[in-house]
Amino acid sequence: MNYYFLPQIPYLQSTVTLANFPPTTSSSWKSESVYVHATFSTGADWKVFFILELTSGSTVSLCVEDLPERPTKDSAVFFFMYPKRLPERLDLLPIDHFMESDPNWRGNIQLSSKTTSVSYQGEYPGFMLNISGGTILVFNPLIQSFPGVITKLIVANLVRAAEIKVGRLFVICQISGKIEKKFEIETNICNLIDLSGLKNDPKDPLCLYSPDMAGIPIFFSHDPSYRLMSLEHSYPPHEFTVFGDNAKRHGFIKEVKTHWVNSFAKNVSS
Amino acid sequence: MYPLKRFIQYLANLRPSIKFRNLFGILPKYYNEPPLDYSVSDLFFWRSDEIWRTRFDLLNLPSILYPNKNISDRVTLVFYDQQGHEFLRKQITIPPFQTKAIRIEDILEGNSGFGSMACFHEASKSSMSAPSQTCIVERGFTAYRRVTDEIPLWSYVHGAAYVLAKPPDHEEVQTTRRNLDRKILYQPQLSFSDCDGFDLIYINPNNSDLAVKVRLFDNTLQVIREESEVIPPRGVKYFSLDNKDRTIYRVENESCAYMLRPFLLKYYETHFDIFHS
Repeated sequence: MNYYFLPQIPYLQSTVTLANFPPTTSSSWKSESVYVHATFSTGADWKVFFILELTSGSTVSLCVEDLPERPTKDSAVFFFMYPKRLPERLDLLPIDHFMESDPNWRGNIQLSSKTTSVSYQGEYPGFMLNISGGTILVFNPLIQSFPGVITKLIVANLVRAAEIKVGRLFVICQISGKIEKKFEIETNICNLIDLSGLKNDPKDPLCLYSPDMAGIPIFFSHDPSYRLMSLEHSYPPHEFTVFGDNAKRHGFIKEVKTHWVNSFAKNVSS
Repeated sequence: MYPLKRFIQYLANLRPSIKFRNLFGILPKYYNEPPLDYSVSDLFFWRSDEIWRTRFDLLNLPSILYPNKNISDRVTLVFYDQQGHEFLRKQITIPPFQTKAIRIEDILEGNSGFGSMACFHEASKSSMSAPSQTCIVERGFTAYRRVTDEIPLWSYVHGAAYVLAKPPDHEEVQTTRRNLDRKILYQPQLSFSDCDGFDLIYINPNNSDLAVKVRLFDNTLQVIREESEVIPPRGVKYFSLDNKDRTIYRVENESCAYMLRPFLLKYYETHFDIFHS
């Protein structure tokens, strides 16, 4: 099962569309209603709200206004679908084998201004909720630095436990190791970071590095009046490889990540 | 590995066994895995005409994966027209750890229109002393913009598939896909009722002509329209759909290709949204 997040950007409406049908015909999918829930962390536990029962084959579009109660930060709201109604308080979020598919069971996470919309067709994969630490390593930040274009970074993070932890995110030059910016990011929220002023030098490209938590980095670029917008996520280094023995491949990628983490960690700690 | 297990694996991976597995969806094997020194690429959509511009962001992938070897990346870009005919190859060398943004119109040598494109990364032989554990794959980012837009904002789309493979130091390109004898349905998990028009863009990843059936549904899930097209290998088909009356709610496609996920291009009042479904 997967979770679906709702980044909150001033002046924009955020909507998530959830589907109760798989992307491809799947013999394991049971055609039955599911229970759509919303949740946010209180810091001590999870508040869970039953939103509606979604019949098989249907879609529904939701926003934070659909919750009976809202958190201090609207960007802390996550939606998910479950085979039964859940209690109003949970210590740990569920990560059951439910609604699994190939490709992943996606939602449409959409940001809309008065005249245009952009979307991220994606999910927060259930397996990532078990990563209580983890790292973020991005070699291809989609920073646009043309005059009149503003780029923001959304970092979605979700873990099973409700505790809110604060971590660091660095924008760092890949070759020189120079730290261009340092930000604070939190667990169990869609962090929003303004990347204005950063310029990607192709001879010493920028990377994103967090030694403290995993997450999904998404780049949102727009003009000042939100008449033009673009949204896309970046991906981790294991997406640079394919095929071969899985165990060997994962071992190889682990070595690659360790190299870069060690290389960046020297600069981060100095 | 136990001899019996090895023997079962051997049987399961014989060509007729794989055909059977794929036909009935039993532990299907959709890829013909190339040797591990091959470079693998998605097929990306490019469009360059009086309105559209395309950009491709290249990273030196070999030097990220083999950071101690100081590798220059010899990149081969292969362009196909909408009928899937190769019409251009370009080689670009990227110094170690560097990146390069390519504007497609700058390298098309006067060609225009739309089609597909592959990108293969190759390290010089001397720099790769150890055998590869895995293939390098380009699933990177294409970006699109219209020259009519007020500012040069690029809308990025990431690659999503493994389609072609190229051996090192050789020109030929081969598909990684196995031909399937059964149809696979794909239904994007989203709604189309929020826009006045949209395009569905399909690229044929197979090595033979691909028949694609596209169905459009209203909000009661009744079929409004059905369209069929045959797309040549590596060719591109554009379905442009008017939705001013907002009746098209959902779409699905059926074909004998694994993961035939279209690019979706939704049009809004002042801009557009392009993404992989």
